[in-house]
Amino acid sequence: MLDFFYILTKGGLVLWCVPSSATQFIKIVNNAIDKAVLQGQGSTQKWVTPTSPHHIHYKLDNEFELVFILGYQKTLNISYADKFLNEIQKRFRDQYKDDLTIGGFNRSFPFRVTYENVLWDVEHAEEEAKKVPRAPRSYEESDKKRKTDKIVTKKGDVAIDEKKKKKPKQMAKSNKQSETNVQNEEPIEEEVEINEEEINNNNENVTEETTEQSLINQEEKDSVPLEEIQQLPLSIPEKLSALGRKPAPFSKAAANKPSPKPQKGGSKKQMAPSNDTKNDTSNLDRSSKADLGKLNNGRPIINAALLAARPEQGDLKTMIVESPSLTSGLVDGFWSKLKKVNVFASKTLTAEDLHAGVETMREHLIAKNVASDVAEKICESVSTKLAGKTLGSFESLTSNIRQAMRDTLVMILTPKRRIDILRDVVDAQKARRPYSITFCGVNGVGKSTNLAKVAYWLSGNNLRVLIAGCDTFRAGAIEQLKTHVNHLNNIFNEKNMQMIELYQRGYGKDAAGIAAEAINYAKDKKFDVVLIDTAGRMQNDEPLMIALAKLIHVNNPDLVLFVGEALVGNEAVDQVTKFNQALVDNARLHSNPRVIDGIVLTKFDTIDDKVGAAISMTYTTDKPIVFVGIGQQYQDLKTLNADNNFPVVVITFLLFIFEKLVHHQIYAMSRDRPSRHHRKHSHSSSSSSSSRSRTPSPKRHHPSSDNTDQLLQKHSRFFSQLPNGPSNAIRREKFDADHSSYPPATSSSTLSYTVANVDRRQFEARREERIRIAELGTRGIWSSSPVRIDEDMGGRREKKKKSHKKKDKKKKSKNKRKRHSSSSSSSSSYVSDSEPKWVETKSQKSSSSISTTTNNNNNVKKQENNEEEFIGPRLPEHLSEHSDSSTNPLGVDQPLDFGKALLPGEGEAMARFVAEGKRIPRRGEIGLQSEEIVQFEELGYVMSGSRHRRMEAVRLRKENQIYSADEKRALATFNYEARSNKEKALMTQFKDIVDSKTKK
Amino acid sequence: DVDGELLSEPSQTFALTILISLLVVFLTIFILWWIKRRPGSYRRGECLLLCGSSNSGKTLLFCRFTMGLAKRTITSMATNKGSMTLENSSSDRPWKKIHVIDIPGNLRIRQRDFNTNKSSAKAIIFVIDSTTIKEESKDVSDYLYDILREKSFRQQRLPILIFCNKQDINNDVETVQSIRALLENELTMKRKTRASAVDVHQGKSDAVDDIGQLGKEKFEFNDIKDIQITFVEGSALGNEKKSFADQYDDEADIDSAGDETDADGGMNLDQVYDWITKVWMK
Repeated sequence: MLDFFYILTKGGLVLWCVPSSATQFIKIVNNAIDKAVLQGQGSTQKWVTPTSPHHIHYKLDNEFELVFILGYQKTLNISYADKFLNEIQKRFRDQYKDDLTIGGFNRSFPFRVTYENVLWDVEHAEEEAKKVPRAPRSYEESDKKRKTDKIVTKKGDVAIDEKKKKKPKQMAKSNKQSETNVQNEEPIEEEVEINEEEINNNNENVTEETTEQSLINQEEKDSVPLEEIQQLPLSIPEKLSALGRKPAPFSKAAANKPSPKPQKGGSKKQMAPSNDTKNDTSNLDRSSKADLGKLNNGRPIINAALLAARPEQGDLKTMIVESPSLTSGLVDGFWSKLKKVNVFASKTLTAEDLHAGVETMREHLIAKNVASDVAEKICESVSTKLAGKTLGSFESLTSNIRQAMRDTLVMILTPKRRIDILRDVVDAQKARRPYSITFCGVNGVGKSTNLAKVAYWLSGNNLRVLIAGCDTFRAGAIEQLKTHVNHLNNIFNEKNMQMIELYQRGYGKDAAGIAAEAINYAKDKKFDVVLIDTAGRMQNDEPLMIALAKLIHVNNPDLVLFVGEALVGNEAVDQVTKFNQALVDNARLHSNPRVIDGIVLTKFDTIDDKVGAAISMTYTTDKPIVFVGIGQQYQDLKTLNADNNFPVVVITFLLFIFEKLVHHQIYAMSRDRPSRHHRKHSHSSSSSSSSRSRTPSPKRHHPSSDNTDQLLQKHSRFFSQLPNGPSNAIRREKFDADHSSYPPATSSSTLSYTVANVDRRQFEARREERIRIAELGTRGIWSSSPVRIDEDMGGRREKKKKSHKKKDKKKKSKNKRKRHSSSSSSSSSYVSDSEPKWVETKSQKSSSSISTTTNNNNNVKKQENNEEEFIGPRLPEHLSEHSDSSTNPLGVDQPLDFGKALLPGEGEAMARFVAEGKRIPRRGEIGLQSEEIVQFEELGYVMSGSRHRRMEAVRLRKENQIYSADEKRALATFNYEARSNKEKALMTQFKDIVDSKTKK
Repeated sequence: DVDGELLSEPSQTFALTILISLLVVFLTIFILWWIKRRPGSYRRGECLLLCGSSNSGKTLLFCRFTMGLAKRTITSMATNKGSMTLENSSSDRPWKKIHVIDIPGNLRIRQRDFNTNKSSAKAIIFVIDSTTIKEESKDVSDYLYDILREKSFRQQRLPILIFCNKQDINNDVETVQSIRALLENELTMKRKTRASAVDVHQGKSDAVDDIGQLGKEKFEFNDIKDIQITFVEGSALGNEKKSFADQYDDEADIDSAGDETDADGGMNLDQVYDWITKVWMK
């Protein structure tokens, strides 16, 4: 019945086996050992090979370092396998105890007789059991009894277990936190009533302002590029000091104060200067720069500063861990927990001994965002590895579990096959064909972005890259790649040859065909690498998955990379398995189906210490993490294992790395960048951010602060060439950003916000979100982000209305247009009541002003449509051209704006909702009937209703992850402070306890 | 005065007692620590390491060395440790005990085991499977590259034997020369793709990390001056194939531990034994 049976040492020596000449099973056994035993895959003691027709059972004897393996045909159903293994183990140990203890393996182990006997016994017993007519089981025998037993014992455990007692406390804590949250929200609701009056009061003023404002908007439309010049040079020391000061009140609030309300005023003012973060916004958003390049005689501008940022040759840098002896992250926190578990009952470990410790470890893993079933399996394999092991005199259980867990994690993260792209490209070059890489993944994980980063890296290694735009589905995907390619070509423009090219055939075509064409094209034009960008797809979207499988099997790329977010939790397993399965299922004629070859882990900089996704993904796919995306810039791509010391880089330390990286960045910033104190702005700062507010992306585009000067020069040249220069259209106001003696009074007046600055609100919303993340940790917030954000926005809006009262009503529109950045950056050092104020300019009902606004809006939209390089989904024409009042639920004669701005009257509606004690409604919910929502959806809009909650969540998450460099730094500081405060609090608590005990 | 002396004396002895007791405590701690550390440390710098990729025959070689017979082996899950005796009649000391450590070749664990054992290496035998070297050249050269780059090995001037195993299987396997050329090719490539990837924050300099001659395009084993590399071909299995059956066929129950190495032809381990003798007996 059994095909083979092996008794081995862990070192790999076969002590005894049957059949004795079995060479054909060696491969199967090797495979099983690799997968099941070493990596901890497969459930306990059983392994089903997908390729060979065998069931394999194994048992580890940790005392003598032995392994017992048996295998039988899948078709047979042998139920006594485990029983047999146990029996054999016992017999073998008894028979050769002496030899095994001294390690005398150099003898032969005649075991056949015993083996046959045991086999006969077990089989016979089985037969007997079958022969007995099956009587209905009594309750005692049934599963139910066992289950209830389990439950009862479990409960007993809980009562006894000391560590579990901690739980209620933690619960209470979280309750408290939620209470504070509630407290936070209460005042908002109170404010609402007051606000409504004010709105009415202000309506007249606002009307005037709006008309003027819209005119100005019109002007500013013409001067999009000017925005780049409006960078206000802010000296780095100042910035850093501001950063240093900022976090303080917040972390204090986090640690000591349950009610943050009293501090709100002061702290908000300090948080307000959003513009100093702009200097460092993502370099990846280059759309308007590309436009600029086109306008400038069609020649791309060579950007000196970016040239300097060319990548080094060679492999990517590995994430570096300073010292292997440092323990942190996954394992460390666990240790301190486990200390309290007292399980030092016996010297030889049993499963029961391990249970408590491993259970704690499992919880810890899950807390670190490892998918729960993966954590379960890992813990199972750890306990199998340890059960039966004898503890040495100086060893403790905790250290043993910790070590075993660490080993298992290292094994999981260590790739089975090394992926060395540069090396493989050389092979491909020899074979005179391009090396092709396909990127796939779900929506919004950063496929295109990381593809661009890979392209940057490859070009830096003197390889010519062709990007195949096979995302024929999402609007703007091709344009996005185009922008990347333009920019990368600006970086690598030394050679006459174009290093990077985009191959695209527009939208709506067959992706597989385009990819095939692209590969052929690359072959002809001697490109070294083809990067294939595919459309994002949900893993359960059957037709799209089939399309992906087709693309991969038709083109057979050298590397299939799955792009996954580091943020993802339990979902990770589902994603990778479904992608893999789809590729296997839809392989059709291919006997050897392709699967995912490697993983790109993105957004690694946003997850703090919740590094579990890396484990979940590598465990389920058994494939290495090829790249790690850690930021918004082209350079922010790392590998986990390029260097020779890669085992050091483990999940255990990933947390540490993250902090290290951020700190490095801060230091590097302060070192590398010269103080720009002396620089003056040659250009005025007239606001044109209104134009921004209409583009779909909430990202703000700014050149990196390094090259402000060069940019300024370029722009001055550019404007002088324009026939209709901005000097006529725009009134400029010169002023000095570093004017340190700027009077507070004026600064407060310049702080007026308009609707045009709407996305700054979002900026602030995000900033506050950041702060909350720093205080509470990410998890809770991400999970509920879609709702929370809306509430936040609503609440803030109401607050702003209140603050509006204080505002000087006679403000000139001129003042309004002053750059917020200047005033805010300088005001960050003031201690005054110059709180930013908001004007709800659109909430008016005077018809005259509405008509003008309508015109303007239409104009603006037409212009946008005329823009050649407009990126992103466009408004359907019939909607933007003529919008009748029937589509507008509020009956106001104005086109619906689906940007971020509030609709006219929407704020009031929200206020009404809130006044009635209802929850703050979502955007798009107000006044729209369900049919209307359907209508809009048919027109191509994505409404934020429940049906699209999923996509909305993806979108919001994406928006929330755009950290600017400054935000990142601030966040790191927050985290650091919050942590140290927590530690301090704990210490004082501990001291108090000690004091009280000693006094007694 | 006398009283004073009498008084001061006990206080002196008291201080002495404290001192001695402290000393005893520290000594105990130290001894305990030493005992705990001992199993690893007494082999420091004295061991023969067996490295190489998976399924190249390391464990078999280990068996030959330590037990003198060939065993059937499968993928190792843990390191094998044992000792071999080296007989040398010409020397004044007729035999010497050498510790042998066999490091599993499985990619997932080899790096860890290698790192824990590398400090105890006196010499390394790098085992290569001659039958599959063409397909596995990348992985093998990867491993070799890591070993050659190891700083402590360079300082130690550690001898490395590259043992091309499985020469007995069939005739058209790679010869030592072709394997050498293949590896040199691969390592040249490796150097190119990995060269300038050193992180600034690490504080390492390029020169230390690079293997082979600086500035030279092609990598050659002759260029490595600080590590002695020897190429040897052979077969760990040799003529012992038939002893397999003896061992695992229990009906007969023969203890076939007889040393058959003498009967082996030139294709066997003689060269390896010579090399080990040279390293240890010099």
